[in-house]
Amino acid sequence: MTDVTRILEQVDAGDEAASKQLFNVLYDELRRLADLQLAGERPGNTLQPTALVNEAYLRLVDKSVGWASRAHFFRVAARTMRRILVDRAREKGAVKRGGGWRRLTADDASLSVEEDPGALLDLDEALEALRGPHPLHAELVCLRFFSGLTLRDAAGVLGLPPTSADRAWAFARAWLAHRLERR
Amino acid sequence: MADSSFPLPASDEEELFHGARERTDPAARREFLDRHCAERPELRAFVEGLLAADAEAEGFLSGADGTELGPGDGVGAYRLLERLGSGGGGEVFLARRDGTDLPAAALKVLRGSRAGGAFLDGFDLERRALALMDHPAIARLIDAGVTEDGRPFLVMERVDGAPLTRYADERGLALRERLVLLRQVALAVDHAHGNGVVHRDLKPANVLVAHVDGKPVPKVIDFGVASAAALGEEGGLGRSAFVGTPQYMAPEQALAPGPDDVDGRADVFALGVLLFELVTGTTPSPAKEFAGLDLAELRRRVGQRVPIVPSQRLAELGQIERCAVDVTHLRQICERDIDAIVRRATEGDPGRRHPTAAAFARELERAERALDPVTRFQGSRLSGVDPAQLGSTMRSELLLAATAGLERAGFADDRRADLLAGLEAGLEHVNFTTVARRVSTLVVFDPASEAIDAELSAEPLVQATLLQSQGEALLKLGLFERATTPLARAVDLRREGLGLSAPETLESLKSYGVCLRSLGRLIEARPFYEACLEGWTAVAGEDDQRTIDAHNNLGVLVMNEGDWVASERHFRRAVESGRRALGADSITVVRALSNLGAVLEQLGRTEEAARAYREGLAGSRAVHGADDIHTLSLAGNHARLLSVLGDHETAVEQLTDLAARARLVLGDEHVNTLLMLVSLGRAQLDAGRAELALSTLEEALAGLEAQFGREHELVMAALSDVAGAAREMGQVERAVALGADGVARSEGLPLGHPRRGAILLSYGRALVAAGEGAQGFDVVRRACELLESAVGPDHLEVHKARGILAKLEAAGAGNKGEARS
Repeated sequence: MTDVTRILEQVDAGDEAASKQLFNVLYDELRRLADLQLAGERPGNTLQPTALVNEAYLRLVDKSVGWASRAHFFRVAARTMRRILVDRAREKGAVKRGGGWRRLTADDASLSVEEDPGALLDLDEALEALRGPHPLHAELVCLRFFSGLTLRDAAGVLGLPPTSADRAWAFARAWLAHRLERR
Repeated sequence: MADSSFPLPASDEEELFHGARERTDPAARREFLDRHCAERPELRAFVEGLLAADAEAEGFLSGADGTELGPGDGVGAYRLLERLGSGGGGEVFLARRDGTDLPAAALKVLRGSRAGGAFLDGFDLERRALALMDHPAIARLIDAGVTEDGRPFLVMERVDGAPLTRYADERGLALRERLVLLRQVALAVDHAHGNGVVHRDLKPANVLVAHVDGKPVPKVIDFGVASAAALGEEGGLGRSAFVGTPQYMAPEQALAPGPDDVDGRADVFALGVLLFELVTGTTPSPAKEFAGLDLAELRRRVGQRVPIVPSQRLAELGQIERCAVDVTHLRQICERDIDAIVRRATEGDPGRRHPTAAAFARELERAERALDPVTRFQGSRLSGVDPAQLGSTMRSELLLAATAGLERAGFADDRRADLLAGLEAGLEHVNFTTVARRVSTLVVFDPASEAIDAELSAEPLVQATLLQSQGEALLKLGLFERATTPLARAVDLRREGLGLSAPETLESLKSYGVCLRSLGRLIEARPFYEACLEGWTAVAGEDDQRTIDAHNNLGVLVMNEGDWVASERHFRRAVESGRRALGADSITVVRALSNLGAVLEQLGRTEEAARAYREGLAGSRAVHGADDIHTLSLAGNHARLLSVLGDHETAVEQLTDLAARARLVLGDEHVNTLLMLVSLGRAQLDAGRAELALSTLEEALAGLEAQFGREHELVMAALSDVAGAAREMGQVERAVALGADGVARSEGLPLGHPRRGAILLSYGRALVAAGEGAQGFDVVRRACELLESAVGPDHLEVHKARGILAKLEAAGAGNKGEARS
């Protein structure tokens, strides 16, 4: 059993410290994969967060883990990835730029981080704002955008039925777009 | 209104958002909001803001859409195997049809809006058009459909290759090679236009070049993707869309993105940009000029690009070398041959561009010719003259001209039709392949020879290349006499410039040797054959195809010289090493089997010969096809053996068909056609149809004689056949005369040559038939002796001859003759 699988079981059992530990382990691992990718040591030299999360999952988690553990993993991974991308954007000295959401229409988070880190900071802030009144909507967006889950899987992680997930997604997206546009 | 199981504390704003969003009719939506927000203008403003954002947010955060599918998922009837990448149009997977082991294909799921009914209708049309396309340089569309969640997908032939420009640069292709490559692409695009399909997103990433057998093989991918995407945008939401890549996009396409708003000339524009990029390594406008622009601005910029031609860009870049030449030189070439093509193709007004991709391709071809002295003088036809094709073109051109002429002359419709029908009937008897063969020497070769001499005397090796290819083309046409001069000069120039063992020199030695042998100049030919074999053995080794071919060729010469036993050894050796080193279906083996069969036939080992022909024939059909010259001659030989083995009817039937094909494919005067006629005539004679046989053989003899002169071995063989047919027809005096003529001609052959015996035999039989029994008997006896000493006592021909002698003896011919004299 891998370390991460063990940690996931502890998280499952309600161990708060384990949750923190999971974040740290994932942060190191995802950061390492991202650096490798950006250093050109792996195919493609843009950062593809969702691919990294998938790879981390395959590397770190036993196939046999239960569904609940899997859900924990992706929730934490989404948070971790978001943090890594935001850190990286700040390292690049990016500033929030406002009105930049169009840049986020590209393939995935990769372009926005590498070419337009300011837009990512804007999105991060808007997500934080969404989290106040609509925490689950914000989480849904994070799972899809940073963990690369399908809408179906993301809804599953959050325990939403599919029709609700469609509606929640549409609302969250309009909400974020509206907020980013208003700035 | 809201889903009852929605577990979130559904806020008012969310309830209102969904309620209004479900109402697509603006009046109904307004009414809904009026009803629910009467007292709350701020909430209403916020919800309207959300709805407005929603309408434009279709692509927002869409990255998450692209990851909905992954390896293992099913899409339509397909199973995704591997993610290949994601590009402008959507995500691409390697996929295979469920439950089959068909080759894996590329499955592209288009990004963007879910497909509505209008989209599906349009998409279906597009799909049918795509399915019509069948071109080697276009990746085939295999299937298409819509995913479970309503996104369109296309399944296409998977192409392994590098993007056009990268391939060209990594391999350091010369300018001319780049033009050739792009021309292939343009012709493929033209094919698609002919089927009503416009690509709309031509760019290097959509033109993949594979490296096959040392040659670049381009394939255009993603035909239909941009159109399907545009359909999706339009059909889905009526939303403005921008499908394509700004650097390559024609202005009218940026401004009018509907699927029917642009035609093939938008692709011509992109081809012009590709040409620019292949030459300079940059696009006219750099990609970064368009980065981060919103849609309106993007459109404006695409419409406002400043036209630029390659020579200008090369001047700006200040590179030293590009396209494998010095940049100063390249700029001059561009000014002369390339700039104008780019300028025209990238005109802002589609009406001023090349009207079709084929027209663009033709201009590229002209530029290619201007670039290469060899092609400049060869003309496009020289080395690839196909008389059958040229002939059929001539025939249709002639009829067209006649139609136009009759129209101008004012004939009434029905009268005109009569006249044309008459003309067509008259033309039935003209073999246009033959006409084309003659004409091509006048219009292609003679002017080419003059040009080669006049303009290239300072470049002996280029000159040699031209002479060589000219000579080879003449050989292929069977015009041996005309081929001698260019081939002999090619040998000299190359021997002097490159040395005796250079591959080019050896190539020339071979061609010249073949030419001499074909003309019956065997003694002159031998040193060239031997030098060729030695050369290839030393340069390329025993198992190289060219060495094996050289063995084979020498075998043919030896066979012509009459040493059949020795030539069998050469052929067996070629067959064996060919099978081992090159595979049983290789051209070399096919050729060697054909020769082996011929010599075994001569040696009277008919069963073995038939087997060799059969093996060779199977290979030749597979490699060359049924109408190829090698296949035809093998089939002819095999059919002839059937006759020798006693099945005369089948042999006549097959040979009649083969002779007709040979006339069509090779022309009436081609040596292989004539030899086929000889075989046919012999079979007809064996089948007891002497009259038919006589006319067939006479035609063959006249043709061979016209080409090879009176004393060529082939001519003498045909002569004895004609004599035999005349004898059977009862034209005994003619038979005797022909026989005597043959004997006189055969004086030139080596003493031990078996042909001498055969000719003598024929003469003797004619004499006997004419009542000159005694003299005839003597001649036949001498023929038997000659034959026996040439090929041994066990040979079929010897047996036959002995049989004839015995019959004459039994009939008392010898005695009667003696008595009379």
